Amino acid sequence: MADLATLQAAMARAVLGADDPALDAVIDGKGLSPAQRVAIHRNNTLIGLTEALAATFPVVHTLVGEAFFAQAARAFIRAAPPTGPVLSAHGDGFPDFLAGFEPARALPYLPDVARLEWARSAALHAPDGVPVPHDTLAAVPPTLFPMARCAVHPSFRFVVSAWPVDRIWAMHQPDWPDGETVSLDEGGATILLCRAEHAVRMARADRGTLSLLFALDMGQTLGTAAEAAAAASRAPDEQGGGRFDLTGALSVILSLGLLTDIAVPRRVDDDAVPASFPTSTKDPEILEP
Amino acid sequence: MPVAASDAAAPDRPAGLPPASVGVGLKPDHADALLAAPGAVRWVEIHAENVMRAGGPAHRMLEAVRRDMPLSVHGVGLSLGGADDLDPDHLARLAAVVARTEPALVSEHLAWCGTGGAFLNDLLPVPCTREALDIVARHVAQTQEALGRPILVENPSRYLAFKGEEMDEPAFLAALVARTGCGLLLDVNNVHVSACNMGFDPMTYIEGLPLDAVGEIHLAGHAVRTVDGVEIRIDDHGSAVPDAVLALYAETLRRTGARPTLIERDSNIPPWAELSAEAARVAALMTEGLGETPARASA
Repeated sequence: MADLATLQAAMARAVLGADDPALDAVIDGKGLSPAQRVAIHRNNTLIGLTEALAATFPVVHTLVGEAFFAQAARAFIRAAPPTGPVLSAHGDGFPDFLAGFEPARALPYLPDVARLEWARSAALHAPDGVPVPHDTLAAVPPTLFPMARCAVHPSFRFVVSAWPVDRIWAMHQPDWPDGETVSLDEGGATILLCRAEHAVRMARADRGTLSLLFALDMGQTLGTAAEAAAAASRAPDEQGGGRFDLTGALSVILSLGLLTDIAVPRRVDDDAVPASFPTSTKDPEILEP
Repeated sequence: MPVAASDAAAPDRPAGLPPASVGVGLKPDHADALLAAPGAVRWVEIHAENVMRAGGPAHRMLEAVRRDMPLSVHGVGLSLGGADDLDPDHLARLAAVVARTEPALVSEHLAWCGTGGAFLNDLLPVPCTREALDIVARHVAQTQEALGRPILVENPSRYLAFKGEEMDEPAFLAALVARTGCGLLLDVNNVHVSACNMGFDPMTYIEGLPLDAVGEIHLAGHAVRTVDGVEIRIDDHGSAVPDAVLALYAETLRRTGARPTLIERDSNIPPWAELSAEAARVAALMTEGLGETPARASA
């Protein structure tokens, strides 16, 4: 018998790919051919991994149907098998795979629906975090407002799509109103996601709001982040660009539970020593610029 | 501020499993009903890989159930039988789950799950050779060291045999127990499935095992397929435990005495009332079986 490593390498190739005649020498078929025996394990592998992908991408599964999904999933699994046993983490490359999957060409929005579902899954399994109450920001004195720093929820994810993928997703949920339809001509959306408690929630936002979140997540003050958001909003694009609405942006962000901490300087008249961000230090290195 | 999943750890959580007790695999759809009306169910088992992400509802569900019930942690992806080294990251994740949940039992499989970093999500068969025994024994020892406790190793469902195997599976498992001090998770459904697929006598297999080392028993249903006129049983955990498996279980109990027994159900999940009724039947079978022939005195 071949050594264990050689045997397992040949069997893994056969499970993911084609029958390997080399295995005929080592497998006792007991009434079946060795290839038929290996095919049992191939089925176990592909069925199990396809079910795991269907659990992560349920709306993609619904949109294309069982047979098409199985075909796409099996091709993807063979091209990019999981790199570890935590199956909910498999599928990172599935949206891009669908974008290049010839039979899916007729559904141009499908890869972005998959991106949204991957973002939902990532948010669902992200570290826990407790959002600040909606009125926390209102309690910040206006003079300290620009110097506030905000911690963004660890489950924050986003998707930018040229298609209304959030509504395509929503129409496959049980609470979608009877008779309401989605038109592909509605245009695209920037979608923010957060799992503040048990369930992932989503909201549309403009690109200024997304820029604001990026800047806050990088540790910038609210003032600096708002400037970046305003600049991003002014840049003309196919949607025309426009004025950034900071109040509206913060309202969307707080409603989704996207902020887990808001820290303001302790005193405005004393070089603005940060109270809790960075934490408990008066090191002049980290004073406000 | 992220809240670590360990924050809900409670010092007064129930710890051990009574020997004559029935558990079920914990499913999200059942968690609330299980806590409200556990019936004959005394403990739960989780697949370790399902609680290895950073956060989210899987952790909340487990914490809620763990406050009330003892737990068994069952790994399905460590690849103890792989020629490759154990994945140190995965072993560390398993150790973290065990530290966080303080289970009564920890188990894994006599199987391999992939090579070269590709995970195949199947419990692939290990040839019963001296080389494989050396490798599995090394991996079991390494796992027990990382967890700081013994593990149970489960007998697999077999769909194929290798030419040139040097011992039978019970002898392989007995040697593994002797060399590593591990225990066994005796999956009676797997014995039945393998016996049908490979053509051996299931009771001879069970009697070939070091039964004192059995720390847990698994029961499940399986599917029956026909390939080229040959009947093949597939271990899919997709139906109630069939009579043939229950009969083998009753026969096994006469040899082992009472052992914590898990009903595995991973697809076609029934309503809680149905699974709970099945648990009650298994609990009754355990009591009756042991009543007829009392548990063997501690040998």
